Amino acid sequence: MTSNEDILNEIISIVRPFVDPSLELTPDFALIDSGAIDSASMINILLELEGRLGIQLGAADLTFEQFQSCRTLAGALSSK
Amino acid sequence: MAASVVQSASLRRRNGAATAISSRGKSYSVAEILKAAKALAQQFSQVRQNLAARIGLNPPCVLLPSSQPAAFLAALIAARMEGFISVPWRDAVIPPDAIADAVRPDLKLHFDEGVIDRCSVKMLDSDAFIGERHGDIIMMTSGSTGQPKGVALVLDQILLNALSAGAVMEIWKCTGWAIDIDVGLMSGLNHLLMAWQFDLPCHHLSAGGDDIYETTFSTGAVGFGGSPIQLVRMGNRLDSSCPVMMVSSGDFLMPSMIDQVLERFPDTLVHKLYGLTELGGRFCCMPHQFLLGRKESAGLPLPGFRARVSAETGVIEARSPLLTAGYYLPGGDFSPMKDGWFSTGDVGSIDADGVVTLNGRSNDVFKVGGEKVDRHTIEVELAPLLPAIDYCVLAVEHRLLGQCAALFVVDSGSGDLPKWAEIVAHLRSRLHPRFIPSLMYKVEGALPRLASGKIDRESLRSSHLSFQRLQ
Repeated sequence: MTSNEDILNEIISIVRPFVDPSLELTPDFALIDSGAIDSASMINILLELEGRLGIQLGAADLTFEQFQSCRTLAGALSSK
Repeated sequence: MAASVVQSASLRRRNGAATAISSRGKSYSVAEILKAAKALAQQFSQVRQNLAARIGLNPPCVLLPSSQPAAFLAALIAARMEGFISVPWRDAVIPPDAIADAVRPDLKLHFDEGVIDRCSVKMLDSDAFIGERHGDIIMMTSGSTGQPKGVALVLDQILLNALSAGAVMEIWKCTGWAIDIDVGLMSGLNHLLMAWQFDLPCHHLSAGGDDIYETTFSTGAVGFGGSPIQLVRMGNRLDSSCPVMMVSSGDFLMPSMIDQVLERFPDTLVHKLYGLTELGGRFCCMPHQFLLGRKESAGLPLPGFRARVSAETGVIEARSPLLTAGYYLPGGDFSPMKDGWFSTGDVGSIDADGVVTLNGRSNDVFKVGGEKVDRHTIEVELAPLLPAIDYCVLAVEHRLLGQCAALFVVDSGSGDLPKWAEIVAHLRSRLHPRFIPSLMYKVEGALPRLASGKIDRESLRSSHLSFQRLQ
């Protein structure tokens, strides 16, 4: 069974290409508030999440609030 | 009964020799317009006899072509004098059939080029309108559906509205008024009647060469009325002379556009008008002296209007005797307007001074990732980056986000289109990340437009996947 920690690490690796390489992408790094990701990159991250995690996301399954950090994202996805 | 404003406008003492309208290189004096109106009224009177069997007790309904503004104005006055219902018809761009289904006109006019005192009258063989007619002028609008419908109004009230808007802006400071809008549109009609009411020669710039702009504005204190993009383009077009006054109507004049105009012409008075056809023309006005401190606002309601914000929807509502009697709908039905407050469909606020500020159309606010976004905010912030490029932002359906913002930007092929990354960087420095359009598309040539001249949003929305993504 995949642990939450595994999911978190996978998410960090998925998100990393979409943010400035100079940023230190920690689990609690503020993705939205820092402006590291936006609505445009969010779509690409969602597509990547579907492919890499083998899940099917529906319309508006994930909110901006859940995109606050990789950890909040992992928490939201672990219930999918 | 009070004398008709139209009749008093035509009967009151005027300088008959003064120019009323200049168009396509010809000028028409006040006396020529009024003489033509009387001649046309006689022609209308004769035609009326032939219509009795068709229309019963209803007044005749006539399509007035708008491509010749002087003939149009004379025919408008004549129709009012004879008790006809006028339907301004943009004959250069709209086939009569597109109007006929909704308003069921009985007649249409044709003017030969440069002739304003006689017209050929053609009886129309569409089904006659069933039921009672309302108002004496029907303005066509496509609304948000793209289906033309007629808005039943009263010409005297449109004239009063034009008078009060002109008074608030003190357009008597001008010696002439220039427009570049089809007078068959509400904003064009409003500008035409405003000039008429204030005895200003109205210069219709359409169909003139580029030199007509410089020439017109070098003749004195001429004002210009047009859509926001026309104001900016006018500024770019003129080399030396400048309009003494610029008045925006139609779409919303963004603060950045005001800055652009004033940077080029610091002495020009810029006024902003906000109106709706259903309200008989202009609803709010933000005069120059107040505009500079509140560039984002739509202005104060004009005399005769009350405004409030719906507590439920946040939409601005208006109440006025000028409100339309109702809509002539496709299929020939008439839908009466309910008494009371009219919903403008524009989300906004009203401050303690009564100043109305708009935040976009009610359906312009949507949720991206659970957070509210309004397309108007994005468009405003894009204006400095895309000063000479047509664009719009719309909400489109998306499999993963539910809805998202999509930017449609025209690629003219001149190489001035910013790259995707530049647009993102520009918006990121100004807006919350949720406002960044998730999709950005290039549109070749021009944005699709409805017959009213407004952007065909439904067409863009429904076919957005067919456009090429911006790189």
